[in-house]
Amino acid sequence: MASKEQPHESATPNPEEAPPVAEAEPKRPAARGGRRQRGDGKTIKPIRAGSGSGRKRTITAAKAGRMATSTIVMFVVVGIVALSIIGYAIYQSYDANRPFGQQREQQIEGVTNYRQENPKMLSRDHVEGNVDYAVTPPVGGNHNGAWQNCEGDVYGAQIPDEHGVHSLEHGAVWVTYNPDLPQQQVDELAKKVRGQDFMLMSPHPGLESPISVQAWGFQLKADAADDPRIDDFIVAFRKEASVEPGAGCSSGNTQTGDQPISGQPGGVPGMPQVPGGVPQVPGGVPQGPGGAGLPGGAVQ
Amino acid sequence: MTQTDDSDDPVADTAQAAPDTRRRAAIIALASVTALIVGAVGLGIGLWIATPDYPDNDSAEAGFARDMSTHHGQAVTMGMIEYRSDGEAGLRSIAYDIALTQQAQIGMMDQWLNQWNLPKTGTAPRMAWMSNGHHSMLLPDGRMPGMASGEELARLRNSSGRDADVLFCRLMIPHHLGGIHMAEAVLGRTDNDAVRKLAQSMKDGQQYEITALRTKLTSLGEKP
Repeated sequence: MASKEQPHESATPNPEEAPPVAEAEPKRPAARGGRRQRGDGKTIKPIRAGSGSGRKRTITAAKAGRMATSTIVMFVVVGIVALSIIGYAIYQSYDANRPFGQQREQQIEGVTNYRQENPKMLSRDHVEGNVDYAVTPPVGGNHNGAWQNCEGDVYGAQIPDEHGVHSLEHGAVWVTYNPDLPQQQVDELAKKVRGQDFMLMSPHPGLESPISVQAWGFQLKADAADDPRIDDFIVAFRKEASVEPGAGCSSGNTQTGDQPISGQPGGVPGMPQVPGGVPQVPGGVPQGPGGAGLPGGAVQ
Repeated sequence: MTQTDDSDDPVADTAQAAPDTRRRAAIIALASVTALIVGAVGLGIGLWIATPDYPDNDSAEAGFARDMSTHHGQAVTMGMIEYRSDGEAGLRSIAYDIALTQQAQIGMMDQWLNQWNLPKTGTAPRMAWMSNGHHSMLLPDGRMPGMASGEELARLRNSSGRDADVLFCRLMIPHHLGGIHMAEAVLGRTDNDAVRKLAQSMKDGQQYEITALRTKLTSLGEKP
């Protein structure tokens, strides 16, 4: 109802009161002879036209009193919608410029954002041997030169943290569980991981909660495999959390245990070190950074 | 004429004081709301123009970008294994080419998802965007067509010389065929220029590489 009334009422003043000015207009071009002048004439039209006829004006004003309430209500509603659109656009722009981890997509209840809380612990040096991590399981920090293979690998035993952290750097989500977790739940977790690149899973001794999921700088502790936040975490952080975008998950370490392999040539028995040599270790243990043993060119 | 009318105004205003105040308020409200609406519409048009045709999360384009990235990832792995093998030089050169090309293309598809503001990974089953409601095209163990099994990859890693060369060709040819099939699928489902351009180049490039790999097999004394 109100919406039908509105265009009529608001349009009323101009058509009814325009004629006096419209009559005057032919004189203006004659006198001033320019289109620009006509344009000027039109801009003052509504102001002067308001007094075109006292009688008409009384009727219009009375109607205006009635229309004001419904019109204002309607326009307030439309105005709120308009404000919402503007506000949403501003929010989107603002949200997209916030640091990763503080954007809307990453707001999952219970996730600890170490990039915000403790960015200093997220150093990225390649180091040999064991690293003492501040968080268990670690969510970042110095790590071994070899990453743990993370092409949906489900490891049945503990993996060295130093390799797992390197996988996080590459954008992997690392699902860990307390060795006590019932097998049925382990299987349920494995379904989320197996065959999915940028995912890996392993038991982690010393875990305080039954399940803990990690990305570089982010961690979610969960009690059960069917916690929907685990899936949300995977969507929000898998590949997205990479601090080395473009880095892969293949040809990583596949050995389990708590001791990282050595990245130094000759450091690990069985590692291929012969230039142009062929990896002979089952599962393809990679060479360390620098690619000792890789041919220098495409063709040898 | 209008001047005369203006001089009458104060009289009329006095008589209609209350309604005029309300009217003025209504006009101010109307003007500001109109300005808001014009602003919002302008903003909307601007955003609409600035973000044209971005595929959504369930689109074929997004599915293609994600699944082809995974598919490419394995080609990179196989290419790198063959590249550092002690096999035939020409074939290792092809392997090097495949690995670098496909890794770069992974980066391009990654950037699409960034630009489209979509997650890099999906929750839908692999290649669901291609299935048209039919049964999944995936292999029984969940692999996409053309993907080598873990056992096959392990064999490639543990091969050398001619064996590695032959196995690399035997694994990469079906891998490329699977890739071409996926590229064709997205070409039949998108008018996004960037996606079409890259998918077409994948289809063409991989077809030529299949020919090159078959030629190598022949020169190795194998049936292509």
